[in-house]
Amino acid sequence: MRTTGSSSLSWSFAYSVIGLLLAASAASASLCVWRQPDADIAGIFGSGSYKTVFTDISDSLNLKIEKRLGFPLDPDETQFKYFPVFRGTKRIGTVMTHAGKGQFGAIEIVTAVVSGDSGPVIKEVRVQRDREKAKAALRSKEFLGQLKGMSVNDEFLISNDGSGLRTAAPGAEKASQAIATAARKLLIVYDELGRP
Amino acid sequence: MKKISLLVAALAAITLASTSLKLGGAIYPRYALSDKQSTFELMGAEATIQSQVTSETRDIMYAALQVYTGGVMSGWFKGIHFGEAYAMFPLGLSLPTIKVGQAVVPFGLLETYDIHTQIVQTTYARSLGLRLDPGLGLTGVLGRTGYALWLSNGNGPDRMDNDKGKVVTARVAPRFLLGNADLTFGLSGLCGSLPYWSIDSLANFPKGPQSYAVKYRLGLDNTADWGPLTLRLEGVAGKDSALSGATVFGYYAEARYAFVSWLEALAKYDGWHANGGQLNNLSTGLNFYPPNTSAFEIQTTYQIDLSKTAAGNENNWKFITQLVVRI
Repeated sequence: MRTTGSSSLSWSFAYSVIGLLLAASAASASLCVWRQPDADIAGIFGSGSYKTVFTDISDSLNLKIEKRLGFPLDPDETQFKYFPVFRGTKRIGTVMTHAGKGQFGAIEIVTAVVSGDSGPVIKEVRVQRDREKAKAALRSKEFLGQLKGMSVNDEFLISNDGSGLRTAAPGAEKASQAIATAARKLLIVYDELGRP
Repeated sequence: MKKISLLVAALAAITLASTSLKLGGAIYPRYALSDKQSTFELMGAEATIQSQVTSETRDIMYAALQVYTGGVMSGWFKGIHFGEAYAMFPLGLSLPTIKVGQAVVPFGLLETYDIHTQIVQTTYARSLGLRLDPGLGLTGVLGRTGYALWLSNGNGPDRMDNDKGKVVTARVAPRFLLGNADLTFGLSGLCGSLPYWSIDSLANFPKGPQSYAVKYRLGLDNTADWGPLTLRLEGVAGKDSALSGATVFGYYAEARYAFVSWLEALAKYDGWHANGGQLNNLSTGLNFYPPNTSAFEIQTTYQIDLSKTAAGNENNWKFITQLVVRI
């Protein structure tokens, strides 16, 4: 591989520093992509359109979210994004994505939220990518269906020994809790953002 | 200076036009030890700008710029890894998205595998001769099947389209769950004028293309997430210059196994066979992903390159460790 001379290299470093400082002003490394919006909207809402909204998490908002969560946000969780879903011009729900912490890597989830009587409730949670052993069980209606209708005031503790209100997917206790925790985190963030 | 002015102008235009703007970047410092030398270099640094324009009810346009800001990569290698600049116009739910600009050619694993952050590389450089190419196309998902169609100029990134040759690339890829395996199978086809190197002239690859040839390529690829094991497979066959010419073919097999969420082992083997010889690479390594952040990762790889060409047989080894820092 060829290398450039020292003069052009020093300019390159200068450009790098400028570029990365510029990037550092508004960047977040942790945002999870929404891989199949068409299939998810069709499956969850029947039909509709969506738009993408990015939102920064201020220091004061970060404190509020962490207090409700009971654990800190990751250092690079300085920005979230959500996707308002419309049928025609009517807002019918909101989708959010997040990468939870599984046993063997990230578990990417899609959470659809709708307005309930006392705040936002989960309409559906889907797993879009993971590296867990019990993939089918984690995606099953028996497991994910338990999260339907849950709100920020509900208990998201998952177990398979009767200590939680919900039952873990067989063979995937840690991953089951990771999915529930990620869904709860999204609900709380959405609530703290003012249910935009 | 002219380049910087253009960059500033592009940034200003995007800022004014967009309803949201996201800035990011990455740096890739790397240490390499081989039987010939040991080096520590900044392979590349990039700034990325993503812009979104939305109406009241839907996304109208998404644009992405990837700007190479520094490092030792130069020539055709730099053009392979840096320089994405494209806009996407979604037409609506279940409809295709129009893509225009300088983007990754959607052939084989390239469509879904972001290879530019990795030490290991698939066969595209030997098979296609480029990764980024200016063009216009469609991409989308129908049910469980992804598709992409890309018409590009075939000259490569940051180059004028100074010949009549064009390239057509198409790929369809159904994705489904089979038991506990998440499977994607891709079928790709490509035809058109592309940069050409004979197998014994690939050492001149960094200098850029000295000639072009009509290439015909057919590819099959598979990505399988089976628990902690991720497999990526690709097979490519084709002809250079004419359909009656000699057959060229290549293959790529990669396996990654996550022991825990932060430690992964990797092994890959690839080969490229063309008139006059063959090139192979065997790589093994470990990747470290620190908990609670996606801001950086450490990749390590031990590689053996084997070449059998008219110039003789050659075996080389190298050890590479690379830090990927994302901002």
